[in-house]
Amino acid sequence: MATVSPLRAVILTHNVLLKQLITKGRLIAITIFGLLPILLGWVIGRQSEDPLEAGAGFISYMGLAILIPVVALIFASASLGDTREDGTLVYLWLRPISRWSVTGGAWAASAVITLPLTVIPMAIAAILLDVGSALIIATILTSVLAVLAYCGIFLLLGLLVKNPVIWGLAYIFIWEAIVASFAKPAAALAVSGYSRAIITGRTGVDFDFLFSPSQTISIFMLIVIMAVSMGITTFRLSRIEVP
Amino acid sequence: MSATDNARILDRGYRQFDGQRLGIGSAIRSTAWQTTRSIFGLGRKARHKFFPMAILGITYLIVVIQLAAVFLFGQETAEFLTTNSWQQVAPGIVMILFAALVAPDAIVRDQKNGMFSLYMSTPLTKSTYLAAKSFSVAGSILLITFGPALLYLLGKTIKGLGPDGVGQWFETFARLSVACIVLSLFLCAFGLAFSCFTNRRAIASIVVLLAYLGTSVPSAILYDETNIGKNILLINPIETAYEFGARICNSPSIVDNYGEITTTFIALGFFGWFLASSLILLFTYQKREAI
Amino acid sequence: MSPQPPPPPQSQTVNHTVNMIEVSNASKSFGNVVAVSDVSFQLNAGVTALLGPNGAGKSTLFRMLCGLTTPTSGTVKVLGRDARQDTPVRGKIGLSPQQDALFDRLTAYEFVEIAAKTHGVENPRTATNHALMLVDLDTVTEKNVGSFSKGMRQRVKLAAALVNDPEILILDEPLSGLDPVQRNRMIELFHNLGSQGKCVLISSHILDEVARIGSEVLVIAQGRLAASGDYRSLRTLMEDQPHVIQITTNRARELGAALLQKEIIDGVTIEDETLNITTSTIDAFGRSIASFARELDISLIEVAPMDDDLESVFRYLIEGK
Repeated sequence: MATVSPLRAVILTHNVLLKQLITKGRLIAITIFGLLPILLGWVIGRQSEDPLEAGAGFISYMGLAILIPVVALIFASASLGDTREDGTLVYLWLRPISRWSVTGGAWAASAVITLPLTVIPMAIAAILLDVGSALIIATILTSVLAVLAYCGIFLLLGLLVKNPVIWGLAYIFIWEAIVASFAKPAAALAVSGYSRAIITGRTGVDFDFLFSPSQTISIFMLIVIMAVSMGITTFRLSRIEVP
Repeated sequence: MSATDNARILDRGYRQFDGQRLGIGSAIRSTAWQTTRSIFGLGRKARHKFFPMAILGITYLIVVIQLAAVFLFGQETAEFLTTNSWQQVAPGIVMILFAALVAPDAIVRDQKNGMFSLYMSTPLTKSTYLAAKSFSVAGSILLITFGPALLYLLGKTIKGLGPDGVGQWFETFARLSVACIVLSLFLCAFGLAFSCFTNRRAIASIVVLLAYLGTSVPSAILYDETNIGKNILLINPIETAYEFGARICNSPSIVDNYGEITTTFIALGFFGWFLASSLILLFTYQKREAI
Repeated sequence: MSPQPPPPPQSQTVNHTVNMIEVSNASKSFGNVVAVSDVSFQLNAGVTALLGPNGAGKSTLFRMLCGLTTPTSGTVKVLGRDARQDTPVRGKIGLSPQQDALFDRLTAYEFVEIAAKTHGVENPRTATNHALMLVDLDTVTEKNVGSFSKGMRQRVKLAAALVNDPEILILDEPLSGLDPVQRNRMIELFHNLGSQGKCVLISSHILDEVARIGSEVLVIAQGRLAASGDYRSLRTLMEDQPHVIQITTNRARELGAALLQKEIIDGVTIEDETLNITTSTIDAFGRSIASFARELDISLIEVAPMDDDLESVFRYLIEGK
């Protein structure tokens, strides 16, 4: 019996879970929702008196605070969470492959589907804002990093709690949207704090956020959040009671 | 003693129920009560109670803190803090989060576990089933709309800061009650309408929130960044309903910029959304088959 | 053609110094509920049925064997290793879990192939086709498993469990949902696998099914191991339960009276030429019945034990009656 290399195990896990995650209903609903930022980007670009500030605000509040976390939540929490819930996790767990590979494959599956559904509409919106390449590059860079970080967090959430979507929504709309806007320590524990900082840093627009780390720290922290989440997911996966 | 003196037949299999039948009213009441138990996780583990109870707790806590300040620090502080009772109704984001939590809980699970078909085998019809579910969901939402507002009104009245005279008190109470009931029914219809497309509770919650965000964010952006006019705000269903309640209560507008819109347009926006939500729900269930 | 299991891979070696499955004083609790209590047994090659009523702890025991859950106390070893900690040993286990869930958006071929690939099977395509053929699904390989009937889903699970040619096969109620023809074929397949040196452990709560799977049983009730071994031998061991034997003879009444008088039997009922006797001394009865009949010049047409079937053994063990 040949051994399975970790990379091949990641790819196999990714392939299985990606097929499970992609449903027609989800794709249609999210694509329609993704059209909204494109439309709004076009309107703001044509009508706003200060399209750079309006556009950066729109990307921050519509894209980084709502679209990306919600779409990442839908796919990442289901990636391993659904398999645990419906009992199919055993078909990945009871294989001679490392837990890291399962985590990596699940994370990759959720990121692969979330990235095009969020980054493309956000990038098109940034282009239609017509305020130069700085915002476009900042939007793409930040969106990609935010997707990777959110997928890490929500992948873990799917394995930790029974209703990951409800907890995830609470995190997005209560912690990140409300608590983090009042308390600096809370903002330091919110992905959106770092992703917004990259946008403001690269475009030079100052929103006077409560928490404004530098771009380098923000990029570093988003990568750390992703890595730590995946580490905990792997640890959890090795100790989980598999149904 | 005969040989059969100790004989007992405990179960003779299926027999037609020949007791009193309590009818459709009882079926609706029973369904509504069981749905309410499910929404609040009554009779289940603590984690099932966490979210609904947390939201309820937060909304009441805000009122209790304000009332405590009014009672402890006297008239000046009271006047600084006090607003009218309508403003104690939970804010829009909290209300929509609550609706996104309770509405899917009420109907989505029935689709997944086959309970809908079971309900259809009882005296309930699709209409009475939806009535029972709506009764439960709207009643639950009433707890975060009417409950805090009424508590605040009573607190202020006890402190002597309430409406002047018995007549005005009852008028305030009546307006508050109507506004809260209308708002709860609206949230119920909106929540149920956007929950009924899927048989997954979590996805239904997201759809409800996306329906809200997909209307509220564009309306705010379009109003702020373009010259499209103030009526564009009416495409935000929750704030429109909130403003409609404020108009019923004769309360100043809480939501930014809605004060500029005429009551006629606010009412049109409200009833338009209410009708649309109700029709989506009814139409979806009309086509739904109990297997 | 009867289904034949895949040929054993040449590289595979079985370490015969350790038991293929070894469970020592294993217990598992979920809060206040004790699902498995102080269970010990060893298994090697062959087919063994794990028998017990619903909720007896069969699936929990299987989950412990596969490392899906840890025992609260005691140890569970498969091929001398803990499947939860040891990655390579998981490649030597084939599990068909009880739950019906599958990756519904995969075709039957994809589902089994992914099992082959994640097990590191050298030629996954051949192994997949072979496994699907074993369970008679080779004609529907391109259909999504989400559209399958319960019986077909059951067989896809079996194919995925077989595809890596495992040394240990753990099958949780593998026959539920199968039609009678498929049941026979699968039981034949299990026997073939057992005779090839694989350790096949099958759970069921259906007695007829278990009796056909094999005579080696583990009986589990309320989380405790009630008995293990050949169920006919188990019957013999139950000295507190009188044996029921049916005797067909030409002079039933006389034989009955004589046996009672000799105190070889405890009781008797007579119906035409048939005696139904109960005896607590089965060995003495067995030794003396033939000579006794000869003494009385009575012809014995048939002497048949009535309660050494699996159902009786199970009833005695589980219900104590």
